[in-house]
Amino acid sequence: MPNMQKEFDTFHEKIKLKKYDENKDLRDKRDLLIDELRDALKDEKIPGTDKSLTFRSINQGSYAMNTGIRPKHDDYDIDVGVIFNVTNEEYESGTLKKLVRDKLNKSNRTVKYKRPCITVEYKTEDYHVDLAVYSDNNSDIHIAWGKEFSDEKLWYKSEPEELTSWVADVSTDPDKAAQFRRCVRFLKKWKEKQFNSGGNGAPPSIGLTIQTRKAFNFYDKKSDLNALITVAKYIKDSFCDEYDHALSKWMKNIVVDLPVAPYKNVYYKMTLIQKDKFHEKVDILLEALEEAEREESAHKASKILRNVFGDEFPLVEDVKEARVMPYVTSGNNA
Amino acid sequence: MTNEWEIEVHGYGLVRISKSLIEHLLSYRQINSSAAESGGVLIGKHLNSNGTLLIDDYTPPQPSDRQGRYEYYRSDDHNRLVQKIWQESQRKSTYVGLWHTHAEPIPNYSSVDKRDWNIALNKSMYEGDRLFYFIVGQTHIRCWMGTKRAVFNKIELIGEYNANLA
Repeated sequence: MPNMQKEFDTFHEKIKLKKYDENKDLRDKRDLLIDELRDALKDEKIPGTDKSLTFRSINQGSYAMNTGIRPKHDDYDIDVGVIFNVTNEEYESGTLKKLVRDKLNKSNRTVKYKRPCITVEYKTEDYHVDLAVYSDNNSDIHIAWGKEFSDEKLWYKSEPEELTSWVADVSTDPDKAAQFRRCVRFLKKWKEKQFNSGGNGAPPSIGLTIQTRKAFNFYDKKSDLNALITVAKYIKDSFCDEYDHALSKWMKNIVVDLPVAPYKNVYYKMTLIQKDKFHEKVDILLEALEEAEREESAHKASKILRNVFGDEFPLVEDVKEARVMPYVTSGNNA
Repeated sequence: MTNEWEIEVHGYGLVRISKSLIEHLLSYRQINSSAAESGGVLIGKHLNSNGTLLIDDYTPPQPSDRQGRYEYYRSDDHNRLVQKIWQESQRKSTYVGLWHTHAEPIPNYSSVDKRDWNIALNKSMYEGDRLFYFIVGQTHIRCWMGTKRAVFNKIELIGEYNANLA
């Protein structure tokens, strides 16, 4: 039974996105925007006081967690948080978020006010920045949540740094932690291949990351394939049955809470139909992984895994055994 | 690896040469005036599908070889290396031919080369009845195929790789 570890390692090298400290280009782009914001706010005072409005920035998302994959169409996603030295009373969340948006709104880019963040898209660049706005609120961090013209605009308790640490704390064993991060990246490729991009049909990456982290109480020294089987089983088992009266049938639902504040369901945006589809795809994933594990031929196993993860997974050639023991003569060339 | 060098051989099938092998062999080109001839063994895999043969590895010059500007001697150490590769690959990777360099842009074989290739066809041990020979010139790699026959072996040019177009 081939364990395919060499192929998984090659695949991982192909898909992984380097961390900021290894990726100067993206780090510079992040710093450029942060410096620009800091500069634009240098004369800004907290309303009703003579205190300057300042912030500190944090990395978040897959860069901070070291679980990023290279984007399909070279649209790099930079996740930053800016934590302002204000209390929730000093600023209304929408007002502060709007201030950030207005300061960054320039002609070479599109700045969008989204529910969890301000997104800066550049017309001629291959990246965008998602900037989450927080209040430090005397070390009780809250996020400015809600769309610009929605009534649901509020300060929402949030623990972005605790989330990053929770994910990083998967293990003190560096081999196990590395296998965990590889598995998260593999699942992201699976998602990219198996779900349509856009919309809420695909499970968010943070959901897959949290579930993999929870499944990772083991470490499979033998192979990433076995580790992935355990993770896929765990995700499949975390679904529960729910009767859908409109469709008059049983569906699969899933609720996974964030392990830190605000402790909400990470799959909250998905409809029941989308979650049922998610279950179906996890079920197919598990079957395929188990089939690859049972497969005698490495060539066939690699074909199964390419169906799961896409063509970046290396194809193992369909090689005939060479029965003749080779013997090479010595000789001269000129 | 994409951009393989592919040669369709009538009566045999598709011979694929991996990009990484080409890149490695090109690094031995005798471009500056003091560079010596290099050579070694071509290693490949016989395939059930997606081609007939994949040539994807090689043995580099060994300390026991002799390397001059216009001569090269391939020592017995290549044989030991190839047998080790064959064993460690569970008999998947094996000896499929020979390579060496020439200090000319588009290489041609010499009578010494032809003699070596015929000895290899007759005396060495390999799968099937064919061996492949690369000469790495300064701008081109050329590939000949030798077929073992009862009376006269056949050696024919089957492909040419232009490094300047890659």
